[in-house]
Amino acid sequence: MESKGCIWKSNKINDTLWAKPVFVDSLDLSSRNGVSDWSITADLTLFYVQNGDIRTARIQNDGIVRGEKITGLKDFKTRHVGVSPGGDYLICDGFIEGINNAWVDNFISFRKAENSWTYPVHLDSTINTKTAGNYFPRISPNGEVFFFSRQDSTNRSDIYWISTKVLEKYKNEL
Amino acid sequence: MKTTSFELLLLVLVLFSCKQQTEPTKYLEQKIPPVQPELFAKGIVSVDSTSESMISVTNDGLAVYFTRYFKDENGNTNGVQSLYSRFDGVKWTGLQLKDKTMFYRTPRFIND
Repeated sequence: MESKGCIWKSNKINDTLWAKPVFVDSLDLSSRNGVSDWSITADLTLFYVQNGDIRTARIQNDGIVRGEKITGLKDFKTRHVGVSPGGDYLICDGFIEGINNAWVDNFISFRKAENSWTYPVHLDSTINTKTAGNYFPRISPNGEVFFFSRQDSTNRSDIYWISTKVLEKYKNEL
Repeated sequence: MKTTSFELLLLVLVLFSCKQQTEPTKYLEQKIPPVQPELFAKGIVSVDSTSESMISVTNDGLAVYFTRYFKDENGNTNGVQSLYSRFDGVKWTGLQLKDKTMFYRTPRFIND
């Protein structure tokens, strides 16, 4: 969680009670710092979007170890990132001239090495419809659901979801 | 051995009861779409009169957080609510306003 840009952590006590949040780090994950979104893996690696680029940081006992901009995405710019709990793939929204359907769409990228990722691949028309923007990707922390938002020409947005099993074919095509 | 109509009815009732117990409780009782994306929790989370985005769920799928935007007739946002619902062990709670003193923005979850 974050509070006024800083990162705080709360442990679950039971189904209805959360422990008092503990300050983690002053890394500013707000728009003041050019950050538009962030996700987290099961091993507490943050993936955050700063000025269109995806960067990483690792939460440890005594705060955060700041990482660097991930490589492989070249000139691809995004606003939102959803990372898998294992950190082996991520979905980000963006626009590539000649590929998108005139709206922002969701793309997938796979980790090749520690900080090196594949160039984003445009998800097919079941996800990226021609008549709407498809954005704000999220992978559930258990890895089984891909959520995203879809916004139509009237500026209304809704939340859609689908099994992450549909994403496996993109890895097989690498 | 001859099976009576009563025994058959009993068997059907038992099977039906077992099926009821395997229905999903996660994700607001919704079944994950396997092939084609669908509106999430239509009529509960996704409703016609508002916009929704920024969803976050817990690892066990038993709590859902999202943001609802109210728009005027020109499509401009004129109100925002941060909402959540959770399974209380028996049923899903109705949508509740998120505690902003606890969560400034939509939280992210890892292992419960």
